[in-house]
Amino acid sequence: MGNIDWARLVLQGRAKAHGISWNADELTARYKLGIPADAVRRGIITTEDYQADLEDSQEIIAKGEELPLGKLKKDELLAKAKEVGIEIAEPKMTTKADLVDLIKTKVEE
Amino acid sequence: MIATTDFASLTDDLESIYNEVTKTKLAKMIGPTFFNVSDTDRKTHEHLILHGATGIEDVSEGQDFPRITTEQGDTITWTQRHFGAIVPVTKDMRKFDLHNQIRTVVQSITSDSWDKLEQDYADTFLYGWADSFTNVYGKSVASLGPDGVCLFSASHTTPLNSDNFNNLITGNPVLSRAAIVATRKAGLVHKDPNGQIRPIILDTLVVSPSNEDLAYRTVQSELISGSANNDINPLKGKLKIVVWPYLETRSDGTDTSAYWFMLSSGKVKESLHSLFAERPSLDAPEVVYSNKDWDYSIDYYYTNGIGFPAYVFGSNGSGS
Repeated sequence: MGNIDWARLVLQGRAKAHGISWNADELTARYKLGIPADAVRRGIITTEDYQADLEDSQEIIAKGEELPLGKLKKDELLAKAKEVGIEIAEPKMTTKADLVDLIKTKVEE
Repeated sequence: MIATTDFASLTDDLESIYNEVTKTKLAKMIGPTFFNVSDTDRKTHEHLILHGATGIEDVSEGQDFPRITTEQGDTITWTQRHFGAIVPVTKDMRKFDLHNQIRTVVQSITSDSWDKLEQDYADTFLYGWADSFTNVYGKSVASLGPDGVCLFSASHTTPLNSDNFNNLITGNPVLSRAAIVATRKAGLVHKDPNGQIRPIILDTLVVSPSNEDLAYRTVQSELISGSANNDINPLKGKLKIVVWPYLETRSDGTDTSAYWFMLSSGKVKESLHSLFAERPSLDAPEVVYSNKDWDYSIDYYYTNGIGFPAYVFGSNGSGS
């Protein structure tokens, strides 16, 4: 019936991806449990899993290793993209999922 | 025999039939009382939600009045779609003066256009739990609101803050007094995205014919059914009941008789929109030949859309 401003919803963490809404479990995770959108996009929908994910990230950092792309923050992804030679014209409009995909593809080339 | 010289008078007759059926149908349609039905010249219409203006402050003597702020909400665009059908007056009909058949064809197709419109309005409610659906015209359409969730959701959001609001009747209960009371309360304590209490007075109960009896007994009884005789029914007089035959079955044939809805009659048109670039009409063919069918046509352009969904609540009666 209508075309929604998906770009805005995705950037605000109010939709899973362009054209994809959060399902019921994901909505609960987002708004009842307060799990960040990026984590829910990676399939984390319980508080326990979110805690485990945070601990996992801390362990990786403590070992001095690099976090997987999916766990990086957007500004870290933008820096990484620049590092591998991807030019971003409008960082505000770029989603984390797009950045992860582009960096992965570029690295594999 | 209806000859080409009779074309003008036949057209007048068909338009009379069309107008007569349309008048009868429109008088019975319920959808347009819930939707903001309006006209547009644009193929694509952008709808912007503005949340309640705030800014009234305690003003000291000599102080300038503060400027109010209006919060911009989500946007959604609705694109017109074209619907139509040929109303054929065949050569046989004309040659053998089959006036009854001609009348029936015009009546049937006119009814079909209004019935489909009404079912499309009802389907907006009935598919309020789905991301998309196949509409009454057989086309797949998205059914999400501007915030990217279904019409009826426990987690509607706005761009302004992370607070969300609920217009899903909690637990999708079957129609009951307790559920009506709880939903009325949910509306009355509604807060706008600025955090201001903006009561939504849910004054209309919309049910299918299957729930008509229960709805009237629950809402209109003087006393609460099944309770002690001195227990009054506080719902009496607070809710108007609308029995909508098109809620009984969805356009895909699913039995939706248990679905029920509550809405604010004063505000629901902010939630549901129906924009016509062209209202239904019967048009005569531009050229007619004595040896061919005369193709009259009925067509219209419109689109339905969901705006700010807070003013209509729904339950599919599934209990989950």
